[in-house]
Amino acid sequence: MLSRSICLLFLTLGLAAQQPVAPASAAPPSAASRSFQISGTVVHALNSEPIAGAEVVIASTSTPNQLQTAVSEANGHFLFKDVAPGKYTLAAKHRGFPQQAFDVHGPFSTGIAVGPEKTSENILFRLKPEGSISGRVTDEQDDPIRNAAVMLFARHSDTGERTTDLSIHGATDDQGYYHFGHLPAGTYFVAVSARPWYAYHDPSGGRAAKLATTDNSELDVAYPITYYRQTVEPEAATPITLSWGDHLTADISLRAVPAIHLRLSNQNPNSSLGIEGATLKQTLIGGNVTFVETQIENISPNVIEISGIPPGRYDMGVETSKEKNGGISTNSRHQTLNVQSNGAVDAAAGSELATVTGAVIFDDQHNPPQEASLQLHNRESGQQFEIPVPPKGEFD
Amino acid sequence: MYRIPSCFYFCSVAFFLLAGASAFVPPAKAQINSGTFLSSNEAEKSFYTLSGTVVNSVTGEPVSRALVQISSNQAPVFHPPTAEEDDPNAFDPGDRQHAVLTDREGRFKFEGLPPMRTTLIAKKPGFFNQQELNEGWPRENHVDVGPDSPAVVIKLIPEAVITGHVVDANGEPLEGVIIRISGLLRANGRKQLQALQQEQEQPQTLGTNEDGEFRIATLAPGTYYLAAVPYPIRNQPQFGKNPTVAYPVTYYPGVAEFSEAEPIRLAPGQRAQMDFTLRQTPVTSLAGVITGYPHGQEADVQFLNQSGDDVALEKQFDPQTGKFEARIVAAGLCTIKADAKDALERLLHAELTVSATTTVKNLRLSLAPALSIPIVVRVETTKFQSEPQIEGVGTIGGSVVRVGSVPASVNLHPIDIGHPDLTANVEGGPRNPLLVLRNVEAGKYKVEVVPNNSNDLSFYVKSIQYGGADLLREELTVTPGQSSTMEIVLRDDSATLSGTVQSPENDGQAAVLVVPDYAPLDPKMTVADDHGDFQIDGLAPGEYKVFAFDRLDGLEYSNPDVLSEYASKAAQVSLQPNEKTTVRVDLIPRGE
Repeated sequence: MLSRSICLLFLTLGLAAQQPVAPASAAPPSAASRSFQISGTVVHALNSEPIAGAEVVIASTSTPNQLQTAVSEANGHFLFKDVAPGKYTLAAKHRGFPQQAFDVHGPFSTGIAVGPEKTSENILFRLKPEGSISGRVTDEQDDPIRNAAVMLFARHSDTGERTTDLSIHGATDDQGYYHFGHLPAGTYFVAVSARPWYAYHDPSGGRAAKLATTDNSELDVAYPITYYRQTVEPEAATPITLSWGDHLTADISLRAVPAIHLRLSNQNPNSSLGIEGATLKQTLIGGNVTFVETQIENISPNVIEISGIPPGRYDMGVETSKEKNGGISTNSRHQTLNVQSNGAVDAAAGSELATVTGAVIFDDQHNPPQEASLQLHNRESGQQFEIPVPPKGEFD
Repeated sequence: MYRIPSCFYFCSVAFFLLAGASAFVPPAKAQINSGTFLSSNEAEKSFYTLSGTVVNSVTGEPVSRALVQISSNQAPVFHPPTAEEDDPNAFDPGDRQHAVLTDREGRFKFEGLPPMRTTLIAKKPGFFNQQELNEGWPRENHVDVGPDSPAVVIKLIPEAVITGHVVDANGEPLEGVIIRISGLLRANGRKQLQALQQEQEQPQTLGTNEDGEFRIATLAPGTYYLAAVPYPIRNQPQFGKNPTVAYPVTYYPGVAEFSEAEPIRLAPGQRAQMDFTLRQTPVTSLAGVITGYPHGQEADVQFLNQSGDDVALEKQFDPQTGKFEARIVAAGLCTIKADAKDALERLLHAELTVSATTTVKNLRLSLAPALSIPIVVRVETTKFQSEPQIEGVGTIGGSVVRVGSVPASVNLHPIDIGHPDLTANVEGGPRNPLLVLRNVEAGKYKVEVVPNNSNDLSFYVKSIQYGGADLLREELTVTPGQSSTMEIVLRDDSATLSGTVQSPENDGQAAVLVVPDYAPLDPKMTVADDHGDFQIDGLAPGEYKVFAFDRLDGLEYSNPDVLSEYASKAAQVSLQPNEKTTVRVDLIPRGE
């Protein structure tokens, strides 16, 4: 089965590669159009050594999907013959060098103009080597932590505003080792989320209603989401500055802390609010949000216990139900919690989700582009909502 | 009553690791060693302490921070009395487990336990416990908690790891090559190749990294096969023309087909290095036409090597003309399989094997109804009259058959890799049910017939005949384009065998195999209890050999050649219809 799915994937690639290549000779010959060349040398950006076997691609800006390829020779030289006049983009890649456009600076790259009086030869393509960030995730006893979720965040400032986005989601292997390869230079953060493999969150159900720490305290533990290096506070995360060709190590040690139990019930005796479930979300660096894996058990009707929670600030979503006009209506209430110790939470607290309606109007009277989306961010809780913009622009 | 021991069922769904394990895993009885007497301070209150150590089964070194879980079989487990002194009734329900971590010296201790028989299980990442390796094997490590509780030694078996390096013909590392690992497993006492599921949480193990390296951990001791499945490869040119060369599926140590692959035997904790050098082969084209299906209907066309791997880089089929074309990367033979459905939704099938080293055109595949094997089940009864009083049973031609259901289910287990298991369909109306095996591909199969017994119906399989072959003695061979009726006879004058396993240490539990002389491919298995007693019913009258093993892991017991090694230690017994026979059998220790 595995081989089959791989084959399908390949098929798609194969089809993409099959798109007709515009042969330069297909350009209608006329007195005005002479043919030109694009040529140059691929060198290592850091030591200026020529790079042999690099794959160099050009595409006319008017037909960006029609690619022509060349492979650099032993002296790094590459040549495209019989190129029609026009503007071209130039890109190259090689093992150890990510695919990159010629002369990239920020979001911009340099195009090549081909035609009379234009210089499209002797281009020096300085290919920048990729970098990597890898490391080991261990526990306080220096045992490797397997299957930990490792998140790589990249800081961008392309749009003028500085943002930090989740770039790659990885996982540790049996030795606790993770590896993010093929990285361009930049500023990165690494965070690790894991549960102790031995964790056992004995719910305090069946005993007195008080929320005493259970006797299995050694096992009733959790790992807070931890940033390189050794902090649970997103603000205190250490930026990792990766230059081209850097291979950096960022080891992270997770410390188990007593897991917190929250008892969730409706504390308003006059309300018939039912509790259907609950989720905890945590805001990560750069305002990214992740669900926190917890253990939820029903203790008694409309009382649930959430256990295995590492201390921290959470946005708690409670799914509630209410009898209304003979039927049952469900809603989701949200409250922000700073969870530092075991306790009880009133499920009826928090605000119900409000509905925001409106319409997106495009100035040119056209329908919205297919990929448009609308995002709503809560500056305080970090809550995010995203919907695609519907065909007529009206949203709800 | 023909009773299939519950364990027998379990074994048929659980896959065991074959071989390898047998040489290294200590017998379960060695897991618990008698040790020092531990008295409890609270003896008068009947609270006891259970302690012990967890060790690495290979090195004998203590395993620190291993989780030891205690679960009770007969009695609820109490929390230590210190935990809830104000609530004397506080205890976990019986199915809750209590657990502790071992200290730096691998030691653990449970306090405040009531007297009971319990089971201890240890866990630690990087290790297997005995229960995981002997999945389905019933022998449990009982510990009796009481004034004489011994110190317990629990062995954890370290997992094996395969690492390797994949390079091209120039020695340059290849990234993104999928490494597929298959285990030689045992299902129901029979060897079987099964691709291991890679955990999705470990993407590193799926493909080679940018240095061409891979690492596969979490391997139980056993026999494995590795294959490099090298597409898509990052380093391959992706722009421009269709490739004229590509990397084929390559089995370790660099061969094209599974039949030539080298088995990799891993001992517990072994670190093995397995490197691949991949060589590109020419991409060739196969083209032709498929006929014999309803016009315009889709057909599924597959291009496979002789190991069942898909070798098509790209394929096209035109339902209007029936024309197909594929670009394939195969170093040798390629089997083209075409499947479609006719207007009545019946399966159509055609296949053709060609040498794919050069381009072949004008191939022709004529779809024909897929091979079906009708099954006739005859039921011989000695207990019912011609008009049986049992609901759901009627008579046809003097034999008793069930109305509205079928008396047995029939499964085919392919011997060769790359074929799926098949189960006979029940077709026809409720008054005239028919058993049919549909879409049977040519090949060899083991036939499994399970009588649908109930409390008041107890049948055994007396015979299975197919085209003159006795399928209790030999495998089913299906030849292309030919099929005959499979005839199964069930009978209800079954015999019962009870007995006792005798072992020098007399410590109970053993696996008992009962192998009919007339049907060596179809042994029955049961488990002797703590006293060595066992009973198995629903057996066909006849001559049997009875084996008792301390452990079954890695034993291919459905293979008569494997069991013949132990034949001198088996008990011979003759079972009479409707009678119970008693036997004594010596335990065969299989050692570490």
